[in-house]
Amino acid sequence: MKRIPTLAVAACLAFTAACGSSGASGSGDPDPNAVLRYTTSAGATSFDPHKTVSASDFIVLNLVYDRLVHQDADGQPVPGLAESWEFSDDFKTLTFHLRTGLSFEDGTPFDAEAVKANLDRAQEPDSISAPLLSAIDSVDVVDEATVQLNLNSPGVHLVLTLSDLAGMMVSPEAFATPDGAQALAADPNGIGRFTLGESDPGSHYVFEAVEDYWDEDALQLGGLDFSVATDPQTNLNAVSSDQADCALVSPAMIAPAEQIPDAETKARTVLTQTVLYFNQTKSEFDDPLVRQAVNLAIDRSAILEGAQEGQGEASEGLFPSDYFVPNDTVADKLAYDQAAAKELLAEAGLPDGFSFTAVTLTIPQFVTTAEIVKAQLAEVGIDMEIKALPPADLGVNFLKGTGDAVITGWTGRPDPSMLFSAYFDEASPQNVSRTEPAGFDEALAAANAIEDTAARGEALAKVQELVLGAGLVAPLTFNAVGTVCNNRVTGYEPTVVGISEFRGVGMTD
Amino acid sequence: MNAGVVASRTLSMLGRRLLALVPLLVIVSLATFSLIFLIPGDPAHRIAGEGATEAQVDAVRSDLGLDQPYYEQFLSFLGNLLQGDLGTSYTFRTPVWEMISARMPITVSLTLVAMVFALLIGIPAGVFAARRAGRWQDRVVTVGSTLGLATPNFVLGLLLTLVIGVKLQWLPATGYVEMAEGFWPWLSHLLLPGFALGVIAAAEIARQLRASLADVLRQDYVRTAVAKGMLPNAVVWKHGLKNALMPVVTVVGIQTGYLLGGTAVVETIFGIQGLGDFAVRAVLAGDLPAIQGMVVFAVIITVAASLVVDLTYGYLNPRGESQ
Repeated sequence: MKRIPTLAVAACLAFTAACGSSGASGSGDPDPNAVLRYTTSAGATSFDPHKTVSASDFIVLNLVYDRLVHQDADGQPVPGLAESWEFSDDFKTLTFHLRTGLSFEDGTPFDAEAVKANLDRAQEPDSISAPLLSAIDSVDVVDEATVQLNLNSPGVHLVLTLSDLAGMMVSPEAFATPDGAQALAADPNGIGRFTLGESDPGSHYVFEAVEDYWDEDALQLGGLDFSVATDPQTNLNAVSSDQADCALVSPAMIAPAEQIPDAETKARTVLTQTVLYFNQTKSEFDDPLVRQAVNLAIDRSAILEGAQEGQGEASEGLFPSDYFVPNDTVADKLAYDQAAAKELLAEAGLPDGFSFTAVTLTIPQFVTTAEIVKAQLAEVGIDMEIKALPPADLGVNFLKGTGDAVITGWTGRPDPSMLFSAYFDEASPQNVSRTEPAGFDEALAAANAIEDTAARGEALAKVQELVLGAGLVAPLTFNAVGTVCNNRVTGYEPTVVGISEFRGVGMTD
Repeated sequence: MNAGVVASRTLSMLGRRLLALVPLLVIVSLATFSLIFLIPGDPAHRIAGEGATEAQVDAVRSDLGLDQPYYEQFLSFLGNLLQGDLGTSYTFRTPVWEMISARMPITVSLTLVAMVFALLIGIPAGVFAARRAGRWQDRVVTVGSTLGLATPNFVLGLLLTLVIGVKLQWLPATGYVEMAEGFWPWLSHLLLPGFALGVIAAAEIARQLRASLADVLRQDYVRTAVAKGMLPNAVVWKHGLKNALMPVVTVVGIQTGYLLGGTAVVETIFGIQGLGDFAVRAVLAGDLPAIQGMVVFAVIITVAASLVVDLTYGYLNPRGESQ
């Protein structure tokens, strides 16, 4: 293994251009034939981006499917299979100008007809993306390289929505027949940096680099060997003993990862967060005063220290502090103030507190978080009982009425409107209470009619104000997620969404 | 006793065992099917995902036949089982048998290496202790085997991976490579997990062998052999060991089942994607067909191991009635 002087690494970090690509930790030119061995905690349940049931499949699928729109490390949209896009003045027509001369893995040309077929499929009732694309009324083919989306409401949010599973392009030939569509679950057929060579579903995948990929800067590898290990320590051990080149690092593993010699850990606060989400139809949570009191009774910094080793961020809103949606209008609603919490409880007619059951995941970080919240709530007279359920059961059981609140993780979504729609829109299946605050739809529609990032952030902050003003959820902490890579790996940059796409990542000899 | 009689007894025992397998498998399949009642929540909702609408959940339910009466679901499960079809994984939409057979060589390799460790450590340790029964060397082996039995394989596994794999980097700390990539790469990846897995079996074999061999060495015919001037080593290895091996063979049979169970922990620690790891994932994901498939598979392996043990009894003790 090549050891790189500390000074050289520091220089690399300071002057990224000098290292060939951003955030490089290795030295020298990447070897175009190198195969990067990556180990992480989850594989893909299906290689069909539209018909999978797991949003986290994106982690694997982005390697073989490009989207219309891609994201930069800060989560902002950049051109993908669409070279550019524009909205009509009323934001109810979205036109994509497509890259030309590309074809799918099976040789089918990529054109406007292919995009229409994909977007139509992504809107079918059994598609995971259908609720996210409900603003699309129809898709028109303007010419071979132009496609127009006709919307029923302003749709700026669709740009980032189409940087997720919804915007992944599959060869229309592959889903032309029911058998072909079924085969997609195990055999992807898209346009991407890699094709799937071998797979052992859920545990091991071998990806081979494609020749003449359209974005040559994004592909610096000859292949990617992707393994899944359920134990986070095992992933670190793999890098320590040179069985893997990179491994996913969860908050609790950042400090141990930083101790690995000849390796570098890059982590950042991501959109994935831990929340205490109320079922407003149960316990005392129909009263906004009670929900607000719970929000004020929680010391989020203590949770960050106790459950996440200080890695990440104590929540001041529904988005991290460096994100484009500002939290300043809601920070006081989440400020730790036991006296104010007690006053609100008294005002709600509960001066002696009340009892409720919180369900959570059987994962140490969440159990610890729940224990800390329980102790903090006890100080204002609220008795919280904890019931831990396995990850596969928690969400579904909570939606079916188990527990009065849930302490769980909300994964990062490319566009903030996706988070708001999923948990606070009264029509969303994930909104356990089936209610929404007054003015919610209007505020969200207004935010989706602004294209300028900063101005849209302000408008989305108003939606956040409605949600947290009503205390619909108690955001607790943001995760820090990253990757530890040995020093042969170059160009790795953690993203705010928390998913390593490995675009531009290479390996030196 | 003539060889023909032995062969006919063995065949008859084999026939009885295989017949007994039929009701056993029916009971096991009923028990595994009943897991559907033990796992909380609605499997259709779990498969469709949290964000699924009721219509999507209903579509999944009907697609997988979960809307059929339980007895029909069981009969269909049993019918498929008889045809060797263990169903399709809810999580990965892949036939369970395909997933099990892909991982089988990995776990068989691991179990094999573990068993070799168990025999290589257990038999010499047992013989050594038996020949020095009652002396301090015997006590050392007894204490050692008690320690081996008492040390959970996850503790040993973590220690081995951190010290030998990560710190000293003598052997790979994680992963598995196929034998096609070379014998040493294959073996080197299995030495640490194989040792962690095999130590308990080694300790059990050493204890059993020590007890039975010490007993055999007190028998008259052994004393006669020694009196006739036979070398002590020859007495132990030629006469003593064959007669003392019966309990060891029983232990090896039982340990095969335990080793299979132990792979769940050891494979997780060492990042090996074998059957144990598959079982853990299936349970975490609430993937019922995968769980059922693994249970049925484990039962078949355990029964097969016990059958092999019975056949070995026949070889070691041809005069005895087969058990």
